Amino acid sequence: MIVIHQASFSYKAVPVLEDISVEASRLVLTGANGAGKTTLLKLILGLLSPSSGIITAPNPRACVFQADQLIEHLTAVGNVRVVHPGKVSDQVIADEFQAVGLPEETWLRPVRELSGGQRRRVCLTRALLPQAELVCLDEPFVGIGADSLPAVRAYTRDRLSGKDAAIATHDPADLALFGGTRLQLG
Amino acid sequence: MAVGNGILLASPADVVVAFAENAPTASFWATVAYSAARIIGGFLIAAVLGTGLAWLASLNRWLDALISPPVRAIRSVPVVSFIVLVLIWADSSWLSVTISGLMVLPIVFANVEEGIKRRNPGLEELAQVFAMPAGRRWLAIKLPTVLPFFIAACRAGLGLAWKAGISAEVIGLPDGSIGERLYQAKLFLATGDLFCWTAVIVACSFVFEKLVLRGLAAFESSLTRGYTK
Repeated sequence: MIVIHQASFSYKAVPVLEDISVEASRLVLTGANGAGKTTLLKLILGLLSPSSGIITAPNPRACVFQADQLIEHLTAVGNVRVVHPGKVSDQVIADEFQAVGLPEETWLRPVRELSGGQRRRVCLTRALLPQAELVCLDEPFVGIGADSLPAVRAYTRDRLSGKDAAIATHDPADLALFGGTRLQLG
Repeated sequence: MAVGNGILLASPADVVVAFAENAPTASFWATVAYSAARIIGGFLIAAVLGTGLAWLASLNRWLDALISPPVRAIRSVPVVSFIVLVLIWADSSWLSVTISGLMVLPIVFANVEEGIKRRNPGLEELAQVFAMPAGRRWLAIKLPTVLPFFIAACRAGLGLAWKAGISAEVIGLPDGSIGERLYQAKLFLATGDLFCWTAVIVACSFVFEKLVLRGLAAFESSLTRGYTK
């Protein structure tokens, strides 16, 4: 369960989030650009500390970052394994890549050579492996082509089953897909 | 005018003869070993010290303000000033190790510091969220970012270490050094010996550069492969 109790956050004395309170196992964050969606995800992940209030969330955690945060010199497989060494087999990674629609010829290529959609698929696979109990997704489907979007959304919904999740999105389709509590920011 | 004059410009045959006369002697190899050990030693000390100082300077701006100006100033000081200083302070046997080290230190420092500054803070967030242990953070994130800058510093510094080290030896004349042999070649107008020793210096510098850069390239590619298989 993600618990946010009267949380506020200011950056250089400028209030970004004020007095947010919510309890949910699924949290969908919506709002205009700059409304504080990414900031709230970072607060939930523990990357930032609230100026006031309390935020608690389950561990272990995983995240699909807005800016990918892939390790560019590593391969697609390497990027998944580096955060789960010894915990996932080659077969599991191969199955996940297939499920998310990442072409096999890209698996052993450095991620800097992959397209935006392929990189996003690596990010999703990395975050949605079974280890995490909390998954935060920041605009997770940006860059994924319209033709494969339904399949990737279905993959994500399936892998999130039984986990707590917070998703920041502009897309109303994500609201219907993930359900849970909607928090409108800004 | 120089062609055909063995004193002004030795012919390739003269150089081969000089090498054939020198190479079988134990003193030739002892001389090469003497200078190589000191110049390579100076380079390695500078590589370690430059990296360490760059890391310290990156920790906070006060340390940076303390460390950066003197290290950067070394670049602007004429090498002969350091040579004279070392000769006043210490024995000439310390000359090539100190001078080659001083020439390489600011290059390594500046490059590694730049590499550290170019780190992607987003990857630190990745490591934090996925609770990556410190060792893996270093091997997978920090080291691969800084390593290309360190390799570039080595590429620039390796040749410089040999040039500066040998120049210092020619001025300070430590016993049994290549610099001393070059000076003797000048005294006796033995241009064949001069070119022979120059070729030896170039060969040593080339071999050492290849060894170091290949080693670093192998290490860099092992970091890339590390999590693929």
